[in-house]
Amino acid sequence: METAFELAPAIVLLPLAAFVVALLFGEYMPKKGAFAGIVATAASFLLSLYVLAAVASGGEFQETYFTWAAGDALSETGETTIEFTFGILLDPLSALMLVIVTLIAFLVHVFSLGYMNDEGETGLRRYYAELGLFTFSMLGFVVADNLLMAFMFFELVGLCSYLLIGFWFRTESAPSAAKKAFLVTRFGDYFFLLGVVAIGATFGTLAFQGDGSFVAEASSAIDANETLFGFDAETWVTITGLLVLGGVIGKSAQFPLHTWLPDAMEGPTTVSALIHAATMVAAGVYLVARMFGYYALSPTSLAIIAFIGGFTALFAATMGVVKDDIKQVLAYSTISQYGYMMLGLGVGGYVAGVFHLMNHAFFKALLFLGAGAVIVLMHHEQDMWKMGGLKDKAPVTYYTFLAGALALAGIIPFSGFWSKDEILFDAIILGLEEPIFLAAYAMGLLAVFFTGFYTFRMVFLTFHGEPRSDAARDPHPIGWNIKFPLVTLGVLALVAGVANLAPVGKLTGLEITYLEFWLDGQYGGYADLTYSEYGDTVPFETTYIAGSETITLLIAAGLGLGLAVGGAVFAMVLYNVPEPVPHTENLGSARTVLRSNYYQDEYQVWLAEKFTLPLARTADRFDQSVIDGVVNGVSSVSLFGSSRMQRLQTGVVTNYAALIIAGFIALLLVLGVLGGWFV
Amino acid sequence: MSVGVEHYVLLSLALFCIGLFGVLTRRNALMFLMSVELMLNAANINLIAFAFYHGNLTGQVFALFTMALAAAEVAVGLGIILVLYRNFRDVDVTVPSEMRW
Amino acid sequence: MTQGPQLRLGKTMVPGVLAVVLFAMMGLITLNTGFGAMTGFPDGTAITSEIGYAMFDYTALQSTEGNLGATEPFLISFLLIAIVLDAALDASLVLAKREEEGEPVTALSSTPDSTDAASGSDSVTGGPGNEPAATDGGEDQ
Repeated sequence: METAFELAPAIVLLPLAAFVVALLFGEYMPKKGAFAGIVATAASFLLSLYVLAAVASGGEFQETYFTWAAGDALSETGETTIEFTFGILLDPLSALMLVIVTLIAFLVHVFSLGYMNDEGETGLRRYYAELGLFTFSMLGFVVADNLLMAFMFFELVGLCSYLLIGFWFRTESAPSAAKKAFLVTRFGDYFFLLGVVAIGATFGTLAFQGDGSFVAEASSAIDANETLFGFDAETWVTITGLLVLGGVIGKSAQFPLHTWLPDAMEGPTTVSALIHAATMVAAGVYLVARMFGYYALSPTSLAIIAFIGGFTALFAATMGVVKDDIKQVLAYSTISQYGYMMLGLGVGGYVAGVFHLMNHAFFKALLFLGAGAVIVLMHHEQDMWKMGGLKDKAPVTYYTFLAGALALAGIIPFSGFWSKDEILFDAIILGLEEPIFLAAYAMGLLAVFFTGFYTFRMVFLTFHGEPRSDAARDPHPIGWNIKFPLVTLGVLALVAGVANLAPVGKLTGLEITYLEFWLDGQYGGYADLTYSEYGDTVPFETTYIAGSETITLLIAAGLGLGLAVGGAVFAMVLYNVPEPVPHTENLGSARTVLRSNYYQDEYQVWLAEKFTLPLARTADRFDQSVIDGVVNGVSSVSLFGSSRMQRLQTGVVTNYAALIIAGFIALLLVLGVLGGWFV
Repeated sequence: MSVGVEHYVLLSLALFCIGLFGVLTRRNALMFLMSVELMLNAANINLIAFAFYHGNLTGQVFALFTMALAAAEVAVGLGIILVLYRNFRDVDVTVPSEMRW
Repeated sequence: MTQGPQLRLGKTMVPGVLAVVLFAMMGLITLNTGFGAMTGFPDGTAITSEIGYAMFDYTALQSTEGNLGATEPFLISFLLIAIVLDAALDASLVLAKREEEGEPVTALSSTPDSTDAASGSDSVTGGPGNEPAATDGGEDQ
């Protein structure tokens, strides 16, 4: 199906066109540019489905559209040229991600009609333009076929995030949060850039796929036992992989660069749904998945990814337990769930990680949009302690939110259960062989309990019980443009698990793990980017409990489900009462620590003040005194010289005559000596 | 010894330098003008001398013209001195120093 | 009892050193130049008439002895000099005109009276009656 691939660039460019249209003509359009965005994302979604079908029927596509720099460069592995190009790569992973991103972007655009337009917000032209620009950048990132293009769109996505978080820039907190988001992710991106440069300098290529890709080059370098830049090949692969991971940690809000995500909730909820739940933070995890062949070469980097993921999952889940703002709970939940994905990828569970990415995109976007609906209902009140009893007043919102919550907590048969279970399964079978991974597994498992708890605490406080304020007693009505995306995503949260029912498949022997087949290239795709290829590269051995896969499966699933249900029941006991009380206050000082986010923000500010600020001051002083001093000195020579020369012009005619004669004498002297007049 | 052209040249040179000395050191504007006249006359002597050296009358005719020009120049110069006096109340050439930075 | 003009000596003479230096240098150059012998004028030629012939382009009347024939014609220069002298005269008159109590006063006037001022300057330009010299472009009285 060649035409699908030929039209593929339109998927990326249509939202860009929407951006331009909204920016230029938004003032004159009835919904200030919303329809441009809706049409563009809908068209991109349909084209993405078309591409998905094309890949499913056995296609794959990689094309370079534009070479913007090419030249001679000697790389460590002996490549003599390097090229910087723009191109697209369409394989199962990117096709899947395209569909996810365009669908959620479309639903968010529709939701924005209800959340922003109908609520009478101003500055909407800017809003829709920035949404269009963001969609363009995210889609460009997804289809990038080389690391440098991915980096460029990574940065562009960060810019759009800054613009959108700071949408209400006239308040004090929003621009500050936007700056924080940008700076923290930029800090990570600095390491990413170093990684890109290192990979380019080492392998002479930045392509993700093919025999000329840096993955293939790295693999052959390791096989040949080469020494790269003075390091053993595998060590160097680890180092560069970790540098790129810096950007991933920043963008996907993993510890320690997670501090920006809760503050990013200053932006409109639709923005949080699109960017900070489903797409932009997914960019980091998507990058790891894209480069998985590279990370698979080095067990050290995989271990580090797994540990960062597991730790973040537990760390953020504990913080989500004590939050009162509905969006903050969801923000910490996002951090925690991305920790799960990193854990899944780190233990070699490529399919599990991608599956959770897909499910999380749907249910987290659903939860955020649901929170947006709740905020509209509550006349823009976000404190859960002022809500209550909304389930009778807004049934659609309640049921869809409940579906999302069940998926998040990981209750069977919702989608979240299947993916989370698979991650934990992959973690335990590796942990049994290499005990160090058991720690990561344990952290992930413990986080399941907390996830269940805070999710249902949120649901019960918001929707159950008696209304605790006037806004809850008399909610604002919501229209179809809010309900339609909620219902769509609610259905997806319920059924998306069907894509990869691995435990069912293993127990019954049915071949129903469609996602695994999809990512294994069995429908279409490049041979070097498949799950089995990665499985061969990953240097981990796995083992089962008592040697049986079934037993391990049942134990892992049972543990996960049990803890999730346990957390939910605990929350039900505490909060599913007509008049819930803040039980978290019983935790005492632990609560203070958790509410202060383990003082991470203060720690980062302290680091900045103790190290970065003095360094910056010294640099500034150096710049002012030395560099500017040199420049000023050069000019002062000229100024001083000229002020002295000025004194020559006395205005007295006889002085001028004397000067003329003096000059004439000098000239004669020179000519005479040279011409031999005096000899 | 016969009078060669170099004697005439030395003579005109001496006159020129005396005039130059006057231009450089005299402060009265009228004395300044007189020194300038001396320099012009020195040039005239030179012209005449070389006319005789080449056996050609061009130098002598030219000298006549330079004399006429000198006269014209003095006329204008005296007018300028008058205006100078009017503006500065003094004919000292070192007093007006307006044409500077 | 008036004092005669005093020659200013001392520091004001310092620039004069330049003139002395110039004389020394040029003198040295002159003495080092090898001039040839003086070609004089041929005996018996009337120098003045030759100058006249040369000045007015009467080449036919010029003597052909020696180098006298090589004298350049100066008619154009003569005419130009006439113009220049005339211009210089007018310029000096303009410069010399004084303004007193708003009335222009020319150099030859004896009284500052405006009507008499006119007659004083008319001797050169020959203008009619009681008008001032037209050299200033017609200023009102």
